[in-house]
Order: sequence, then C-alpha cells, then structure tokens
Amino acid sequence: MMRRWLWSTGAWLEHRLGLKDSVWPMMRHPVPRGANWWYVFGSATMTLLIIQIVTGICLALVYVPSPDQAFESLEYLNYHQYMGWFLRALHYWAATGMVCMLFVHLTQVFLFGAFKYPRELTWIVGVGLLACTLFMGFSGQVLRWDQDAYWGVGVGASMAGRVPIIGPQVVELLLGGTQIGAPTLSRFFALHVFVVPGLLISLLVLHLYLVLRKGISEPPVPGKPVDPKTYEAEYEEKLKGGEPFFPDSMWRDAIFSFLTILVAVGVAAYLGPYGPRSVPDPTLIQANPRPDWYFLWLFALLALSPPEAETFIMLVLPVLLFGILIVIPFVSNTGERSWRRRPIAVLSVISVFVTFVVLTYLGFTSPWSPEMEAWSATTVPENMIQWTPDLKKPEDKHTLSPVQLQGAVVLQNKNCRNCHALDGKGGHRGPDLTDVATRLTRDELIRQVIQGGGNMPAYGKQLKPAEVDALVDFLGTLRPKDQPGARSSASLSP
Amino acid sequence: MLLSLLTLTGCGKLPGQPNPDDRPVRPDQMTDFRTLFRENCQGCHGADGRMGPAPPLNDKLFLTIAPESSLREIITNGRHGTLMPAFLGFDKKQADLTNRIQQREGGHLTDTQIDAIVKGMRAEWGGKPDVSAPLPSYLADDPKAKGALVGDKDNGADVYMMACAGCHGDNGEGGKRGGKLNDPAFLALVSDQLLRRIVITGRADLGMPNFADPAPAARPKSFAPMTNQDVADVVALLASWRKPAPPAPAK
Amino acid sequence: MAEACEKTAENPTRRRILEWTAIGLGIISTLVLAIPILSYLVGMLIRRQPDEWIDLGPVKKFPVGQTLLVEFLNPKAQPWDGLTQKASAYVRHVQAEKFQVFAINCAHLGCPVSWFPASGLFMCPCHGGVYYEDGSHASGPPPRGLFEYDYQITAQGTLQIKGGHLPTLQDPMRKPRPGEKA
Repeated sequence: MMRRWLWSTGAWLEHRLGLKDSVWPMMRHPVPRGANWWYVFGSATMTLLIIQIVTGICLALVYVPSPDQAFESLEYLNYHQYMGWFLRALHYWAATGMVCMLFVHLTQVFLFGAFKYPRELTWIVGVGLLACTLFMGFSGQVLRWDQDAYWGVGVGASMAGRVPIIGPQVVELLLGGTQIGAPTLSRFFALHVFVVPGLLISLLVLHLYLVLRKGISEPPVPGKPVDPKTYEAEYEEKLKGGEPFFPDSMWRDAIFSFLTILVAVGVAAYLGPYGPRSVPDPTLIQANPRPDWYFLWLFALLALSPPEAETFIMLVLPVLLFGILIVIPFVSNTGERSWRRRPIAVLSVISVFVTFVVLTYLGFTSPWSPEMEAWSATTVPENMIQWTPDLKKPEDKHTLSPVQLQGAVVLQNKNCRNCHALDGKGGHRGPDLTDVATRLTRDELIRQVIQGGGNMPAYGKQLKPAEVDALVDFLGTLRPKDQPGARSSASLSP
Repeated sequence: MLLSLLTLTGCGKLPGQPNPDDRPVRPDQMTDFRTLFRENCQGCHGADGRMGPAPPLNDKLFLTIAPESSLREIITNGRHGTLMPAFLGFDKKQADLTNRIQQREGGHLTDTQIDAIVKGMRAEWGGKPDVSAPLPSYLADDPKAKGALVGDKDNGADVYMMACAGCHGDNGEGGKRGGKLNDPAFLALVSDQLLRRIVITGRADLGMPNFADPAPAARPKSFAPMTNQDVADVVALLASWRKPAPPAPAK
Repeated sequence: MAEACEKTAENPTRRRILEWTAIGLGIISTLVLAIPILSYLVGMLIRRQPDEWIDLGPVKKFPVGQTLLVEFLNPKAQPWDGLTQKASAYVRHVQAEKFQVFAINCAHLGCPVSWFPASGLFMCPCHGGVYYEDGSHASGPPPRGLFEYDYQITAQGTLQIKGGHLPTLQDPMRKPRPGEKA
C-alpha cells in the first residue's frame, strides 16, 4: 500500500518535472576511463563551499554588521551562543580549506593541461571563481571586526588610494564615506553575504554546466597532443569505453568530499575559532595588524619591494596575474597536455609555489617590522650582564661596569632593540648586535650611532655625548668572550 | 564517529572551545602585574625584576625603604636625570572619552595600571629584608629625616675607603671585582638619588653588597653598616667626581 | 503557435511598432531604475562631506618640545559607529604658536605609527616605515613624510585641526604649501 502510494507520487512528480530526461542523463554522463583520484579536488572545493554557505547563514543569524556591536556579537558567538564558537571555527577553517583546495584544483588542472581546447571557458570561469573566493577571504576578515580588520581595511583603502587620478574617489567608494566606520562594515557585509556569494554561485553553475557539456578531460598521455580538428571526435570515441559518472565515478568524489568534511570538522573542533583579537579601537595605537595567512605573501611583498615598484605591485600586479591566468588557455590552446612534456609549465608551478611559501614565511616573521615593544619588553640576555669566562671557575664572574650597564640601559631606552636583536631576541630590521664588537671598532660604532647609515636613522641629535659613550662602551663588550674586538683598518694597514 | 558526534553535541568540552578567560583584554585595561611588568619594565630591569642593566626592582631592601608614593611618582613621571622614562598615558580624571590628551610624552599606561605595577611589585617581591642595621631613608630629603640630608664629601671619602674601595678602587678607577665609578659618562647618566639607591641596596643580583653587608671578601674587618649620613656623604663624594660638562665622545 | 507567428508577420508595420515600443520602454525603464540606484551607490561622491575643524584641547596642555597623542571623535561619525568613531593624532608643539599635527596613519599603507620620544622616531608596525620627529621620512617604504593636519588656534586658546577623512597619498590632510616638500 505504502509502496504503491510512493510509486504513484513519484510518477506524478516525474510527469511534471521530467527528471528522467534532464537530470538523470546528466548523472549518467559517461566519464572517460582512467579519471582517477586526481580529479576529486574540484568537488571537494564545492563541498567546502556548501559548508561555507550553511555556516555563513547560521552565523548571519547572530552577527550584527554594525561597528558598535559587531565585536560584541562575535564574542557572544564565541562564549554564549550554544555551538557558536564551533560554527565560527568551521567557517574559518573551511574557508582556509577552500582556498587551499581551490589552489590544488587549479594546479592539477594546469598540470594536466585540462584547460586546453575545448575547455578554455571552463578555466576562465574557474579564474572568476578564484577571484570571488579571494575576495570572500578578504571581506570575511573585515567582518571579523577587530583591530586587524580595522587596519586591514585601512591598508586596502590606502592601496586603492594610489589609483591614478580617481584614487580618492575609489577610497570613498570602498569605505562608503571619508573614514572607516559604519558604512564600511555595512558594505563589506553586503558584499560578503549577498553580492559575491550570488556571483560565486552563478559562476559555479556555469562552471559545472561547462564541465558537463565539454566532459571531464581524460588523463593526459605524453605524446598525444590536443588537435582541435580531431580532439572532439577522439574524445567521443573514448567515452564509448567510459563509465557513467553516477554511480561509478562519483564514489571517489564522494569519499574524498566526506573525508574533507571530517577533516574540516575535526580541525574546527580541535583548533577552535580564530579571533576576534583586540577591540577595533583606532586610538589603541599599540596595534600590530596582520592579514590572514592567504594575504601574508602580499603583505611581505609590499614591505620588501622598492618604493618605485610599489604602486605597480599594488595596482597592476593583481590585474596582471589574473590576466595571465585568463590568457593561459589561449596562449597554450593545443599541443601536449601531459606535464611530462611541458617543462615550462612545471617550472612555473614550482616557482610560483616556492615564491608563495617564501613570501608567506617572510610575512609571518616580518623581519622588516620594528618590534614596537621590544625596548621595554625584551630583556638584555643575562650572560651579557654577567658571565663566567672560565667554566671551570664558576665563582670567577665578570660583570659589566657601571657605565656599561648604563650603556645597556641606553640601548633599551633609545628603542634600539625595536630593530636590533641580542641573541636573536628583539627586532630584526637591523643586524643582530650579539657580536657587533667583532665587526665594528669603537670609532666605527660611534659613527654608525651618530650618523646612521644604511637603513638606520641618525641618532646624533637624540643622544647626549655621555649616552653615546656609555652605549658604545656596552656595545664593545658584545663579542664572544674568547675573541678580541674588531681592530680598525687603519691600524691593520702598514 | 558516533562518539565524536556525541562530544560535539553533548556536554564534553572540546579543545577548540574558546575559554572566556582568554578573551583579549584591551591593552589599557590590562591590570595583571606580571603582564604589565613583562611588557613595560623587564627590558631594562630584567626578567623577574633582576639581572637587568637597570637597578633590580625584585629587591626586598629597595621595596622596604622606597615609599609607594615614590614608586608611583617615578613610574608616572620618569626619573629626572636618568634614563628612566615616564609611563603615564591617560589618567582617570580623563573619563571624558570625547577628547583626551596624553599626559606624558610617550607614556601609554593608565594611572590604574601604574598602581597595579606598584602594588604588584610589593606583593610579589616585598618582604622583610635580611638586614639588622637601621635602614637609611630612600630619599635624601625624606620628610621623616628632619630636613634634607646634606652630604659631606670629605667624610664621604672615609666612608668610601671603608665600604667601596675594596672593589671599585681607591679613586673609583675600578678593580677586578667592581667596575669604574669615576667615569664621566656613567656619572652624567645617573642622578644623585640613583647613586643613593645603589649605595643603600647594592645590587644583590650582580653580587654588589648593600649598605650593611660586611661582605668579608671585599670589605675590611672594621666595616660598620653605613648610616643615613654616611650614604649621603658617599653620594656627595661620587657627585663631586662628576665633571661640570660631559666631554664630547671620543672621535 | 506557429499560426499566430505567421499572423503577426503578415502585418510588418504593426510588428515594427511593437518592437520599437518595447525597446524604447526598455531603455526608459532601465534608466529610471539605474539612475537612482547608481546615484545611491555613489552618493558619497556626489555629496562629498568636507573636512571640519575639530577641537583638540587648550594649547597650554601641550608643552613646548613634546609630541603628545590626542584622542578625539570623528565629526562624521554615526551614532552606531561605536569605537570606530574615535580617532587620534599626534600634536607636536614646536614653539610658541608653531605646531605640527600628524595623522597617526603611516604614509605607506595607513597603519598606526607609534611615537618614541627617547629616540625621536615614529615607527610603523606593518612594513617598517620610520619617521623623524618632524614627520619627515627616515627609513622604510613610505614614499613621503607623515600626513599633517592644518591647524589653528582659536581666540580662546584652543588648538583645532581640520580633519574628517582618512589620509591617503593623493588625498592627504592638507595640500603642501607652495615651495614645501610633501
């Protein structure tokens, strides 16, 4: 009875929907044999996107996109809303996973030459999806309305302000006014929650439509180049020996996607939500703003590039990078697909990844930034105050003289430690001073302190003669205790 | 799998769940002594208030003689004539958040935080010092000491020979155990009050004895704890070594 | 269906009229929709809010030779702006009536600079920009010195600055005076 009822309802629906003729063939579309585990990253990215949509909607139920309460609502989510912390964590870590998975997918498609004829448009739409995802990352960081978000918007606006001629207008459009404030957060909320997700989903539908229409690329075989004249006929031929996507080929995607979900949930449960960090109070100037990890490379690039190249890097480089991605399928439309026969492609992937990793690492350590609190928070290593020259005689201790102790205080007080480390601790903008006395003589030290030079400002005006004397006296002790100090080149020459 | 689901929805606490105690504190509302000391003081005064280049604060004798008002005053305004900077940023009187002006150049602590540092030092490191002799006053013009102490450098020379010369040399030229005191740069960078403090407390962390420590290896058998006046006299002697105008750095 | 199509096709003039009416109405309705919506979106450019004079406090609160941080409220703030309606600036009292008021935003990319009186330097925590006490560039990537506000001293002896927008390279707090380096 029940079964007959179900059957008749199904038949009624099928008569109206006609799924058997539309969706079913799509599910059963043949996939060339050999489509293997390399093909699962796209669907995993989509799975993470679905997590993002679901958790995003849930978070929007509580989050207040207004600067006077955004931070409080995030804290409410973290500490009061039941499971609020977990959804925040999942939204953050699934976003991280989505960016990673997207890049893996992109790299795989690139190395397998899957962007070549006739799938150029699929690739281009994919590049659009990448742009949307990265914007979601940045705007998501802004919605986490803490100190990083506040100054991050400021950095974004300052970059936009460099656009020739209309810079100031672009800044106001971005901020929604003349200052970072309520309209800024509101518009990033609208973009993050309505505009870009809408765009993202539309592009995704187009992407999937193209994948179905042009079929999944068969695994490349070295020595079998793509020829637009014959490719499609050959592909049709291959499909005859293929397997249907559902259910045969789908299991791999399903397994990998479910594993991805488990990992995302596990990481979220284990590592918890990220932030919000300090309150978004612009008057708390002891801030140390940092972007989320996927923009650390840009952060590093902006610190390391020469000033003349900066405006180019901020405004032209992103356009150029996306331009290159879009142009790739046209420049290299035919020919070999296998990465074994495409050394330039392999080399460029390697160099892009190495650059990314190196810049991200540099962005993470940011050796160019003065450590703003080092002068008052980073101690002078105790073995530079008092040390035992001979380990066999521990009672025979050497101590800095009173003036050298004052010199060490000068070093701290004059904020030298913000840029100079002792024993690796302190800023890294300038050289580590741990054994500076082996490199510079007293006269050279005095000259460097007073006149500056290299990247170091001149301190002549800021230091009293006694302070210079004491400081240099102390710096003169900074060498391995069994090594003599530097001798002036004048005394070395005959 | 089931188990993890149970922990997810159940009562178990997952490692990722944020603890309300860890929530970020506004830097101007942080009143934890250890954190404040770590961020603002230990650069010069050393981790745990000792073994830094600047005088140790983790010193029972110092914390006993130095009145709370002095400590608060020094942190607030810095110590004139030395490298100790002022730390007061905004004080309670400026509750009107619409327009506040920083009280001391470069300072960023509130008066509440300065109070927390003063109280914290006394609570963590204070206590009865291991000294039986009568304690000299911290300030030379201590109101309790019936008028300002005036040091006499000739008498100071005698006290110096008894208490200091063993390490620092007869003329302050320095020796194996103690560094040079008769150094124009050193004397230009320290105030008489700082000299007074070091003469009284010594530097226990670096092995320098205090005003009362017989220190048999360094001081003669005839050594007697310095009196309030003795300390003032030694400081007068050291101050007399100070050159009127500091010399230009050697070129 | 096919018959209907043929029928209209029989009368080309009528069909033409229908076509042009549809196209014309389409254009008009698009404009009627787009103009208000687009001007809503770029409204802040059409009615740009000019900077305003902001009170920083009595001149006597700024000792000569010192550089002090001042907090004030952004005059453009909305009631729901919360903490972000606060803003700050550095006031350097050079001598008598001469002041320099710096924006806290680094001229490189807008991060907040800190003032270190002991070394006489402003330092930026982001990309390592460093400035001298007069705001001029000392080291690091910034292409110019710190942004300076225009200031005035009222008859009552109050220091005021002209502010209200985020300073950027092409839109600094004030245009450099003739003969002055930016």
